[in-house]
Amino acid sequence: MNIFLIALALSLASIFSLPLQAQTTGVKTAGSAEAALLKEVDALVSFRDTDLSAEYRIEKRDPGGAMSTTVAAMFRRDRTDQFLILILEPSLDKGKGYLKQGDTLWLYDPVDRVFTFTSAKERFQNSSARNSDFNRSNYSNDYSAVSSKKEKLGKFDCTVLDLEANNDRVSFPKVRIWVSDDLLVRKVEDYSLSGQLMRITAVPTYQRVEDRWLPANLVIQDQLRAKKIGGKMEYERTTVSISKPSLKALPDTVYTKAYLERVSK
Amino acid sequence: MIKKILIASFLCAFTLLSFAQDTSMDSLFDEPIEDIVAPPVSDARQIDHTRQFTEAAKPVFSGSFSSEGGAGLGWVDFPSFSNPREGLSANIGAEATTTLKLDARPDPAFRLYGNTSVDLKPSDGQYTWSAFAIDELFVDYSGIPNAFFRVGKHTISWGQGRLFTPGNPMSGSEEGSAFRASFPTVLSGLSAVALAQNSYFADPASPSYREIAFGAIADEVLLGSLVSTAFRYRGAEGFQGLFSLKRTILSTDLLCDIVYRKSETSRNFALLAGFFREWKDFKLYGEYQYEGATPGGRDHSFGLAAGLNNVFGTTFDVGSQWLHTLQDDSGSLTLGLTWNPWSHIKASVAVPLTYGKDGSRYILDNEDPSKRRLALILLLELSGSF
Repeated sequence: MNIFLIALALSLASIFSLPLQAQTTGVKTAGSAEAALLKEVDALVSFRDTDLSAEYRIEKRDPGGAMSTTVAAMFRRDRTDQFLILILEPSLDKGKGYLKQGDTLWLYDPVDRVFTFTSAKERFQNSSARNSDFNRSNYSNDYSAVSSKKEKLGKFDCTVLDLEANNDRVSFPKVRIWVSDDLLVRKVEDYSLSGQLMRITAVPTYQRVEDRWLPANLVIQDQLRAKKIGGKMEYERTTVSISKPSLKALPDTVYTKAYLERVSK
Repeated sequence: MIKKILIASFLCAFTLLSFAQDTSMDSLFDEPIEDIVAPPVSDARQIDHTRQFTEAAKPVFSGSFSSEGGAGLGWVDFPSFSNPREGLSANIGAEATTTLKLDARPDPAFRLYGNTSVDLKPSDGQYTWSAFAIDELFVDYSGIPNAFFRVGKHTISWGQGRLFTPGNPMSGSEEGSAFRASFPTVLSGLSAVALAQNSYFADPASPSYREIAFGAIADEVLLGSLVSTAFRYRGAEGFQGLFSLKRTILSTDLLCDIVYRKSETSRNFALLAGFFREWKDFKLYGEYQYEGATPGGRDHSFGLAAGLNNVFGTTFDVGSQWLHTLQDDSGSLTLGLTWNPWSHIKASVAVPLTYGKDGSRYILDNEDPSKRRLALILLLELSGSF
């Protein structure tokens, strides 16, 4: 549960730092306009000049119905690429935590009072996280737009960008993103190098925090975890609801291992 | 207030809708809830999410109960085919443990935590609950910016080994009391420790600072690698230094601890190297240790542990652990299977094998109550937490 939780949390940080570029019409080879759009969208969802904290409710449903719920507090500091996740529910896990600093991850086991350190990006493949989730996502640096087109996504008019990775730090070499006219990423499809669809993330609703945006909720569907139920393919789906956003400045010590020890059981 | 109710209702409705898989993900965008625009909030009214972790109006009590019963059947020596019943031994056993915990956080700068336990071991002839044992009792103070202090009885664990732990200078810290000062914003963390146990003092009523153990550890992440340096010194023991390195290469965690020990009578070192790799439901962990304190210079040990969850999509988990030392060619191999047939109940089946000459390390350290070398163990555990 806990690895899955941090994977999702990291994916939230990565998905919503997307620099994008406005498109005009039709499918066309991408250029500098797309890069500018990526930067613009990145600015809307990044909080580089302040701390961001919020409550995350993560409900995971396995194919066939088993459901688990975790509530956590998330503390982010984008300018230093750090964040901290502290479990609120279930109550038995309250105080367990994870600290991310750059590419490294600390997990604290309050029973043995031991910190585990890892930068194994692929490790979280068991959950919905992928390599790119552990890098503070920066599409304008990690990807190049290879094509763009206009497309309708439900009620949204979107610019669809096909992105290919510039480096091997990301887990998905190919990504397709839908950016609505208000420069918010509404949908992300992650692909393997062979073009297999690995994961779909949908963000139908955002919430405005000061002059920037944060997802109010999102749905992540793992295309690799599916089961046929009653003749219908069911995928593992996770719904993340983000509430009580706060821009309260936090002390530097929040993003340290010692803080994890303080708040743990 | 109305806005909060609407948002809450929306979140509930959204959750229900999002799990409906008779439509594609794109259907979530057909009639989405409008983006939420909340009014600006002044700095003074911003929510402080840290307070729920660092402050509590009342002390929090929690605890757990665990009881385990089982049976074992096996041979104290490897059987011969001509007489398979020779050396056969069987026994049953049971034990139970109850823990109680107290966590008081009257304000963000102060915390008192205590953990006590009692046990019941009929298999050892103990048919009544033992006296309460204080496992941990400490105070945290964090009123000074960028500093954190912990004093009392608590566990401190340094080094990276899990199967072998030569690199843990603070081993045994849970037996005494320690004062720890941490400066978390210095590098990736800097801590200094003073540790005392009753056995350290010639005259506990008149302790000397020379009899206390002192230590420090510093962590830093350099180019994606964790680098730690630590030391421990106590007059009677001498000096122990630790250098740790950990990095991930090709999806595999690689770790290394180098320990150097110097006392008035000896000087030696120990080396620990290990790896960890995991796939979807499978984990593999291995360690190698060289212990230079053992005379002869042949004390090389290996350990390998593997675990597979949800075998073939079932609720069964299987695991294995193999430990071997070249010092005397002894070792142990344990195969195990666990599952949860009902809530709060865990069933386990284990087959431990211990091999080596009589008097060898793993034969002497055999934890089987009957010292069986090959056994079948069945366990049933009832546990719960609150």
